[in-house]
Amino acid sequence: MNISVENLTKKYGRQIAVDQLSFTATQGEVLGFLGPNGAGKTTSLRMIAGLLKPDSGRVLYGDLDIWDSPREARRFIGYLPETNPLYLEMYVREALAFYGRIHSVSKDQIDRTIERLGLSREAHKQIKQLSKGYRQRVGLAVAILHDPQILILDEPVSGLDPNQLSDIRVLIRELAVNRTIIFSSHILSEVELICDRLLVIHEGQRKAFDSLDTLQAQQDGRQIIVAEMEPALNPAQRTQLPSVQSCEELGSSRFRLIAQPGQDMRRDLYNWTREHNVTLLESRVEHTSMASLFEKLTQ
Amino acid sequence: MKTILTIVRKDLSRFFSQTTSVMSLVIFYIILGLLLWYMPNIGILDGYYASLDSFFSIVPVLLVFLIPALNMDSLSGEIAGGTLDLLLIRPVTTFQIVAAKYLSGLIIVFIGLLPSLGYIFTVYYLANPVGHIDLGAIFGSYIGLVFLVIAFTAISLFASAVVSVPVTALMLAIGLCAFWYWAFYLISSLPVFYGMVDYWIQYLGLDFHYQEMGQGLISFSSVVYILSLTYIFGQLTWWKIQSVRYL
Repeated sequence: MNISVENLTKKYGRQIAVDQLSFTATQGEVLGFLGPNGAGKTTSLRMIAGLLKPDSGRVLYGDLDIWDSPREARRFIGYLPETNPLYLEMYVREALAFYGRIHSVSKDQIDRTIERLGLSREAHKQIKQLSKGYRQRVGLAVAILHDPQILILDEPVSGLDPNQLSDIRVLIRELAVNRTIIFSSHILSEVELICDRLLVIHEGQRKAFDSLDTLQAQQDGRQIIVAEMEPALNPAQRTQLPSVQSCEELGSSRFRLIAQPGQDMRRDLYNWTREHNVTLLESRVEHTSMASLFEKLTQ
Repeated sequence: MKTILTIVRKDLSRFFSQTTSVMSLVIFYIILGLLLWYMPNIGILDGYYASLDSFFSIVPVLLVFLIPALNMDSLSGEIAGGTLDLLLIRPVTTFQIVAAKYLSGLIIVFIGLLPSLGYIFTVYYLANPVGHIDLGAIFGSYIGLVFLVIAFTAISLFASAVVSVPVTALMLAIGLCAFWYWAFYLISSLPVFYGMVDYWIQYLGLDFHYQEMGQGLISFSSVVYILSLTYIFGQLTWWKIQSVRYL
């Protein structure tokens, strides 16, 4: 089921929290929602989940306008809020059974969800006894229990250790096969690994919306190569390199080369090292990092 | 209805799994028992008659504190904790949420009042000759108590909906319950109203109806008055939750 967001706007007093936000997410895709703190991520996600009424604009699940037919729409949505609210004094299975009854979910499906999230050993513990990572899993279990077509996950990976991170990553990719997932995170490397497309918002406005590769290509323009050479280049040689605009020494005979606009340095660099009896020990093309991309888009 | 019962079941199991909430019921019982049996002058053992009059006159005072205390967390906890959001995004109507919260509040208070039935038996057997008590008056007073609980629970639930800090919700609820119970009587005793509208002002207070029922007079107008008050606070609670949904 696709999600279409059209001109979503929300104001708090005179401050515009979300400004004319439009995008679509298609089934089978994980859409990464990125933005600095206070960019309007959570406000947007709450509006898309149907928890907050926008001042204008609309949200469609498939063809269903969620504010025209909210009860039908709520069957399709699974939402994990940023704060991961849970009934702490309830037992894991008890809490899941409660949400399960609201959706008329079978006991089997509750068991399957518990197993899928690796909560079998914790099922008979009180939620307040669980570590943050396990609580996050319970939150995710609550969100996916009724097998929703649309999943909105607000910062699902914050506070997880690397092992848990990779488990959740695998799970989210698995879930995405026949669902539409919107995923917000501060952990840029996670977004890079999990998401198919990225939506970057800043001050409530859409700054970028495309696949990561396209965004990087658009933002870079220039090729960057990190190369290790033996012997190390002397200062004179550094200025002679063909197609290279600047050469920065990184230490231990490693250099970062930035190409002249529109140039591909790879062939020239290889030929030049052969001609000058320099051994090219290593060379790799470096993309603009997620962090600098994020910085550029949200300045 | 199934959804309402699901939420009620969850609330009851949460309530009775918390030591603090069960303790508040126990403490209520200890205070009530002490006042009822040992309080000088009004205690049953000091009295000459085998009656539960002192019980029925003390209980409203305690209920003004007990019912807000039992309900303070009901909605405010869910709003502050964010768990209300997880209910609102599910196929659950605002009415179902408010009705479920109200129902679980009522059930908890009634469970709390259940042991007081034991006092009837005690006094029944203490009477000389045995069984020489006015069961009709006791029955009427219990009906009054039930209506008082119905109104106080609605007021407390409303307070819990508008304030997201449980302790503040408790204060607001105690204030509102106390106001509706005593304030109109006090206002009516102002000299300005004397002999003119003082009866009608008293009529607005819950104590007026409670005492009337305690005398065995269960008038249709009292029932309508208390149910209307309950409905108004229920409706206000509904609006508040609905506004959270459409914030």
